Amino acid sequence: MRKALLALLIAVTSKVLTDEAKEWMLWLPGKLIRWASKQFRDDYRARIEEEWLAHSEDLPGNFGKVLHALGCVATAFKVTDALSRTALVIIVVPIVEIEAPVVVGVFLLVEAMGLFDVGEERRRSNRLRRAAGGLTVLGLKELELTKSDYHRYTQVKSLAEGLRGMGLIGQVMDSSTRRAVKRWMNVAEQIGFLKRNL
Amino acid sequence: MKEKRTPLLTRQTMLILSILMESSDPLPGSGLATVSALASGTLYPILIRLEEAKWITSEWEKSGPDGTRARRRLYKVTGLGVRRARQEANEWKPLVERFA
Repeated sequence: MRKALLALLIAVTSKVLTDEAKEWMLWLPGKLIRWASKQFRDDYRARIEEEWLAHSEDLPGNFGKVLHALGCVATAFKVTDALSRTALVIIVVPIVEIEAPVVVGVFLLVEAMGLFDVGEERRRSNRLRRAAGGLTVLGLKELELTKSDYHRYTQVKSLAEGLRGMGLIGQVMDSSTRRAVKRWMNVAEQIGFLKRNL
Repeated sequence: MKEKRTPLLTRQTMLILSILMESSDPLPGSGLATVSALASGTLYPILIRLEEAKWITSEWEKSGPDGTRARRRLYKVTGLGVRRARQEANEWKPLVERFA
């Protein structure tokens, strides 16, 4: 009884799968031929599509039609630049789509940490340099320090501690990150000096 | 399509040219595929390049009796194609004879 049911189930399943495959084999060649012909220039497209469809109609059996359609796709790849365009869509676009959120996320994180916010630091540095008569020694005038400077110091200090905690101190960084960190370290040192001496 | 260039005279290209030269009537792509036993992915790039180089020409067949069927494109070799194929065959001749 069990064996009979199993045999019946297999028979029904294989019939359904065969019908499904047959439908796909009828649908696929036309679809592939249309896609392949679309890769050609506009004035050539209709001609090549009709010619390939006529060739497909001449072939007996669905399997031969699918093989012919695959040959048409191969032709489009060989004769046009469809391969590079497809590679662009299949490889480059997903990479950009995956990478872009990561890059934006990292940028926002770094921005939130204040690493790239060097404009304000540069402006403050210029302000101090002007106030010190062109001298580059910073922190000579107590009044030039604002509350936000202390806030930055706290940020940089916590950043440095964080980096040390992660074992990143002494690691090789790319030049722009290194410059940004160095700037903030200088500011932190100068503020620390002021805090100790003023 | 990529830039036009002189077709490479490979064995398959020479085969297609020879079939078209031997045939008194223009042949469709399906007929050429049957006679040459070449797959569509090999045959059509050759036909497209030969036609761009004006070694062969093509025209639509008159539509079938019902008129709903897709028309075949019929290919025939041009004078230039015949000249270039013969010239190439002559260049190969001494080399082929060495192996005879």
